[in-house]
Amino acid sequence: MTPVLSIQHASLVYPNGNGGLLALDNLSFDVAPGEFVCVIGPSGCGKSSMLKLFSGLRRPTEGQIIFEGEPLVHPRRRIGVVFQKANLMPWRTVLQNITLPLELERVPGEAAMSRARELVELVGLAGFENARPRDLSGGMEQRVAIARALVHRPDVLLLDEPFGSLDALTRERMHLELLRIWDRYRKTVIMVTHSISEAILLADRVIVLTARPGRLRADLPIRLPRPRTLEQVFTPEFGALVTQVRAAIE
Amino acid sequence: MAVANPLNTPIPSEPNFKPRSLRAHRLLLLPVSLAVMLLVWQSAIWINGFPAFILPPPARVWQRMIIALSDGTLLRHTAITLSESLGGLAVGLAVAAALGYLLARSRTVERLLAPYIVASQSVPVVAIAPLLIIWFGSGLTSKVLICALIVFFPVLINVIVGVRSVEPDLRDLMRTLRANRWQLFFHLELPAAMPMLLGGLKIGATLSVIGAVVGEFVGPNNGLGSLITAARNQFDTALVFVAVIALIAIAMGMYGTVALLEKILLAWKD
Ligand SMILES: Nc1ncnc2c1ncn2[C@@H]1O[C@H](COP(=O)(O)OP(=O)(O)OP(=O)(O)O)[C@@H](O)[C@H]1O
Ligand SMILES: [Mg+2]
Repeated sequence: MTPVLSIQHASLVYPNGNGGLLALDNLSFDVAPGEFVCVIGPSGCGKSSMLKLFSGLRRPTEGQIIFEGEPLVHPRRRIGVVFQKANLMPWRTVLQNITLPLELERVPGEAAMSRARELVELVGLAGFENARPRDLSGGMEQRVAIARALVHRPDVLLLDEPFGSLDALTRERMHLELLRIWDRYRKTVIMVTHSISEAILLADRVIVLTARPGRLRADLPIRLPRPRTLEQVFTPEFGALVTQVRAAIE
Repeated sequence: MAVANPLNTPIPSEPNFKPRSLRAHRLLLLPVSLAVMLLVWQSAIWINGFPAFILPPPARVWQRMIIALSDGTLLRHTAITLSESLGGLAVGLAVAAALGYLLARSRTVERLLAPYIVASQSVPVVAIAPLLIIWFGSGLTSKVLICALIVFFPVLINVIVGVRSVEPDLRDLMRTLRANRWQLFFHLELPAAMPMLLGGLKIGATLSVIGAVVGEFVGPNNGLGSLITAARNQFDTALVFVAVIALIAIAMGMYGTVALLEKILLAWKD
């Protein structure tokens, strides 16, 4: 299958005082359509920088990103991003935050509203349509951000530690919700995470990066049956995968 | 909307939690402080025996105000000063907002203009006012320009800080959604900078009234500043007081309007 996205020999240098800071070094891998890829690596190894490249927000210093056969040179509507922070607009209500991508595409108000309501249901925020971000918990904010990233039906979803700030229980709920969303729409997902078990629970593949500069350390397929459940965490297969990923990181 | 929304139930704001007596006290604060002020004023006259042209008693000022109101002078001059202040505020706001936006968005424009703008602030407006009167006469134009000059800087600074305060992550978000220049401005930069813009407008509103009076002192023609000058020359000190009270009313009215606007536009803040 031809990949939707591939990163090819990409290096990224951030300009600084002395010769620049090498964040990513000759990173290459492909992502197939509908694949769920988790990326894991030590803090500061360049995971967010890698997503910046995949989103087209930044261009690699060397190498390139290929999206559907063509070099990616600027952000695309069909690549949705959920940032490390929820990044909601505080002056907009939940519903208005979710309709933002549709408003920018000039989708008529009524159509945008009904589509946004579907997503409010999907992420379990019914009843909070008119709440402002300041009245939401961190988990709710993050769900609004996910709904906003899905509202205009992008084909690719980039997630940067979307559950990083959540407590364990909310996190598990969000895992199930994300799995449900992915099962239903089969989008291509690249998700950065710090959690090994989160990566194994969700992904078809776990990519492990080295400490800075980020290089490809390991590319491990996760062949656990789907649909996944939280109980799978306690199976021996799961345990073996955790050991394998941990070994790759250390 | 028909959907049940638990968050729509009004949350009592802080003062409502205070005991009733405390709130009543707060309402009494203004009349009490006014009464104290009037008493001090009157006592100063009783004790020192100031003549009316030095310090007129409150009752005398009150009578003078009735006269100035009934013969139309007070309203006429107040209307003129108000329109100068409003005009100056509008012009100053428009120029400062446009320029502030450019300065915040472009380092080149900033390097080019910032030295001149900062230098211009070291010259007091009172010093430039006579020039403007010479160039534009003592009519409305020169006064509006003086107000605009005085309003310009604080609004400019606030607009720059406001636009710079837009979160880079929200800019990135707008870029991933392919927002165009206008959408970026309308959906992100304007609402994000609004609190700072309104803060600048609040300062500008009171400064604008000062600008109008400065203009009227330097080039007296009409307006409350001119009225003060004329009254002083005739030793009609009570009328000076009346004019000052009218100026306070204008400044408070303009400030209050912006505060109200803030309440409406920034309802999302708290
Ligand atoms: N805009 C930038 N300018 C300069 N240096 C940057 C910039 N963004 C990131 N860096 C540097 O690049 C390196 C990689 O940063 P990045 O945020 O991609 O790491 P990360 O893997 O996402 O870290 P974390 O797990 O803590 O989120 C870090 O050393 C960081 O300091
Ligand atoms: Mg990061």
